[in-house]
Amino acid sequence: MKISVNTSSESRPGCAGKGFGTIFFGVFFLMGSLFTILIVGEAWKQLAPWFWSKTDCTILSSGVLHTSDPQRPYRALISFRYQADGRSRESDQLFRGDKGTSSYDRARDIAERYPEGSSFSCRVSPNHPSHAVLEGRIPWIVLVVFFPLIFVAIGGAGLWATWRGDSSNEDGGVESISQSAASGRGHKFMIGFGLLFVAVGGAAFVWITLMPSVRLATSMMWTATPCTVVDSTLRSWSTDDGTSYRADVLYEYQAGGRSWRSNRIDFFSILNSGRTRGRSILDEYPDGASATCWVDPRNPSRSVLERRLGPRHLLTLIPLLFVLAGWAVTKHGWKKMRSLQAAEQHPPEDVEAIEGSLLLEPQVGPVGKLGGSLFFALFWNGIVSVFVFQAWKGWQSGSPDWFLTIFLIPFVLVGLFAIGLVGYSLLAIANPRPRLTLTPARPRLGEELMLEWSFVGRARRLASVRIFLEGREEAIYQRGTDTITEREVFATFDLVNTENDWEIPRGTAELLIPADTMHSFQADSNKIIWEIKVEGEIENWPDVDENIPIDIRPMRIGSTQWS
Amino acid sequence: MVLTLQTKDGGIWFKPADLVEGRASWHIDYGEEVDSIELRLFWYTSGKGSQDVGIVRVLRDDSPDPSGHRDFSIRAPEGPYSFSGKLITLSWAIELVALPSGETERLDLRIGPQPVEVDIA
Repeated sequence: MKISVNTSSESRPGCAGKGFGTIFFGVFFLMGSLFTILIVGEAWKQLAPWFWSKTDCTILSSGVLHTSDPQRPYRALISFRYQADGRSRESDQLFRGDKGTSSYDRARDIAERYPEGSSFSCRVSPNHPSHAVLEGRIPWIVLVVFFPLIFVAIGGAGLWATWRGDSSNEDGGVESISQSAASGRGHKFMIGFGLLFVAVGGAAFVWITLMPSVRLATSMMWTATPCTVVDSTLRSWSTDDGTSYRADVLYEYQAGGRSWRSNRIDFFSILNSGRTRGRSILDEYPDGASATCWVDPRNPSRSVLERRLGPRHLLTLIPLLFVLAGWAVTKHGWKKMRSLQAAEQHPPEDVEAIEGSLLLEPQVGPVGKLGGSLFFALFWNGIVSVFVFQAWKGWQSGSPDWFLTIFLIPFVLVGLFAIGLVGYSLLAIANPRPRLTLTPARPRLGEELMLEWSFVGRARRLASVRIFLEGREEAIYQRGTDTITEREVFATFDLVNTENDWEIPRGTAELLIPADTMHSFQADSNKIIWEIKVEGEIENWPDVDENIPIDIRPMRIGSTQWS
Repeated sequence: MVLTLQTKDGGIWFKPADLVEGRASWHIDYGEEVDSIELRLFWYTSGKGSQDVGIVRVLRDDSPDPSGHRDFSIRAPEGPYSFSGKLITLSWAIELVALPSGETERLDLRIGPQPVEVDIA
């Protein structure tokens, strides 16, 4: 069982660290608490009408109001009259906190639920009889409270970790190393955190992907109907990250013997935001344009302008990444939790060395290396090209931005190196590939291993070949927000090192693994890694360079000790 | 509270599959709250990397007397060996921990084929 803990018993913060920790985590805690209070307050505000007294009311007027709010441009405006506190009163509040909606269809459906002249029961505030609503709403906003609560938890845990050193070990006693691992707190947190990711990602997947997909599938049975665009607007509003945009196309059509209006462009409304996408929608559906929309023959109020699927719809699968990441974290935490429980119930079991042979596979093959370098080159140069384009425009217009130009030089050089690496990896695909068989599959310290090698492809191109076993330490640690990995080679044993043409294509090598070295070891942040390395030199061509990890087990129990 | 750990014959080197035998003793002062006493055999790393801890065996006494002792016998696992490198040092230890206070007594051990830790530095 391997359990990772982030702090060692020796790494308690000093005075400056405590001050910084208190401010840093205090801000987390306070901001999280503030937002939690605001959300709970808003939820309570929405919940309150459920406890108000019910009374009869009459609908005076009902319709859809076009508001000036670009985020929620439509609102069901329903005026109603009711009796309270001995007099007749009027209100137009559908529910508490009603600010409108971005969907014309939703506002219209609500308005049509309350036709003019009809009677309903409404809810009146016992303390303020002038406050009345037609509906009580479930305060879904309360679900959002989990986000600020994460900040509260991080802030609280950070403050606790910063100050706990003061109260413990006052008598100078021994501080437990195993306690943090034995408590399983880290694993429980990991499981909870992972499940939260799964829940949030799952909910987002249902809302963003699944429900629209089902609606899209259902709409395949809908009828093509001529419609006219009555209003086509690019709505924009300020956010913390700048300005947000959304295309709003209100169209009208005839169905079921009457006229209907809708602003549903497609079922994946989340993809219709952004200035570029919004502009392209408006270009396609300008004011007064005639178009074909698709109408549900069983319910003509339901319609949509577009039923096309394109590559951009793949973006709706992003929530699945959260589900997968959350699941992986949960599984990891669960596995560690189980191994901790196992330590309480059973003595440790030794892993048997496998005596048979094993065909060794490289961790990343030549195609994988090409894919990796291609991805990096595209990603890096894609970002850098935006800035290069800006610099180029400056040069074109005769007013070059010297600072930007000089600043970009190292980034462009890295981009060119990445392109070169893609070319190198592409050529390396044509290299002869080593085929290695290890016997035994999991050798032990102090015992002999045998390696058979051959090459798939034109081995004659190889001018020399070196195959060797390398042992190295690998330590991972955090420096600020960076994760650093340090490596240190502690052992190298040549298996073959030849320039002989007749030796290169195939052969067998044997090696007695020393008993006085360290076997393979894997923990979260510390590892002992043994690898078979193959280096083949090809003149005027990328060299063969493959690394294949192997598992070297401890010495056979009861075997001869070191000499 | 007084916690004491002692191996049989006072040895701290154990070969894989050897029995780590000894005695855990405690004396709980009047008024101190102790729900259980745990004996843990574990390895831990130190050095450049973030610390890893691996608990391989836990023995627990859920109703300890105010003053008492328990003999223990745990078979040392096949690995990992105690070792020291340029980046990583792996050590073995047994801890006697009183819960919930977390008061601890630790005894460092070496597990490996030789009395000294494997040196790969």
